[in-house]
Amino acid sequence: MDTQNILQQLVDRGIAPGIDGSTLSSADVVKGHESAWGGAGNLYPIRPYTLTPAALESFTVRERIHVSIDGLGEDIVDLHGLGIYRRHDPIAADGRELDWAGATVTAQFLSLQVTGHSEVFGQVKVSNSPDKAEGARVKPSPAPRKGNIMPIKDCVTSLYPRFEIEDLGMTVDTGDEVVRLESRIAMVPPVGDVSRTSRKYPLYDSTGRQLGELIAADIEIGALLHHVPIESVVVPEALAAVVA
Amino acid sequence: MTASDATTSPDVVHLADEFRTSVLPVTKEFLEKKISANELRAAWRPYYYDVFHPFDLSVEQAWRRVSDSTGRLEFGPPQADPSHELPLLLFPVSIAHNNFDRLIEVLAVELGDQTVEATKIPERIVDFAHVVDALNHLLTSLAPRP
Repeated sequence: MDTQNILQQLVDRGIAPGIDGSTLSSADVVKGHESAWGGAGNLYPIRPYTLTPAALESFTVRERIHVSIDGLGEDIVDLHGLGIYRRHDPIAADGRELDWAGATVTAQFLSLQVTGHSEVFGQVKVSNSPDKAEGARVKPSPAPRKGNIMPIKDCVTSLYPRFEIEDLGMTVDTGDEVVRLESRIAMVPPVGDVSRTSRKYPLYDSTGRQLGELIAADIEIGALLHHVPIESVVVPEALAAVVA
Repeated sequence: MTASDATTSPDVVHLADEFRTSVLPVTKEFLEKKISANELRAAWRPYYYDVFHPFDLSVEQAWRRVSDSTGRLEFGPPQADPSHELPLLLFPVSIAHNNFDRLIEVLAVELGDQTVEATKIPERIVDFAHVVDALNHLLTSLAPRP
């Protein structure tokens, strides 16, 4: 399949309004961090299909957001930065030994900071809300038929992102509404994972006035920078409620 | 598909053949507005569940065999052992398929019975075309046509 021809046809037919020539380059495409696409001699820093003990982990993050702001317009912004989370002890399924297929794993977001530039919005910074419970839960993926064994797990990331938009002169957020991004993974931490939203979220200023919309968000987990094993950590109640 | 069905070595040639014959034509039809996102997903799922998942299970089992992994608590990164090469070489195929499944899912959520021209999130259509292309290249590199 000739991707460039197909993409050009999309533009020519007006199917991809706002997508210009530069957006057709692979640099702006979200298809997974390059480490996930392998290559000769590639060895992963993570054991696939395997549980590991609790740890503090930091990794590179790329986030692409599609945002509309009243008075400024709509744009797709590519952001890069870092994420840090505290991964808890895995929990075995009821009546089952602790193993990859049955276990549930949660992680608490400690920090997420990504930055990018937009011709419409100026500099854009996206961060998490440390005062709120945020994190991810990895659980067995439902099998399509009884008796099937699924090698993958479903991952749901729950965040309260804050969007600092230079040309708006303020920070907007989704208020009390948690943003959920989902993906399928085969290792933890999920290097190479691409998680995506499946709905829009209204964006509010600090007074609660709606100023725009988060139309879509797509996040790539990139390179693992640090992995620091820690003593056994249980899931805080507040986080358990958010990722339930 | 049960665990006992997936004890053979990963057959990437079969997976690549099925991708070329079952998936590529459907992705092209989707991009050409001939089928809806729901029709795309309906065509993708039998391949994902009945062809890819047995392959993915065989990659998992190959990993367990060569690394003596039980899937229970283990420490540290994989060792640089030549015997790990095959499952780790095939692991990108698994990651790419799983990421692609989520992409098709969000396209179906947004578009339902509509075609690509109804999208308000065109960047994901661009992602879609690039992922199809990259996945095809990856499979072709691992399982060249005779």
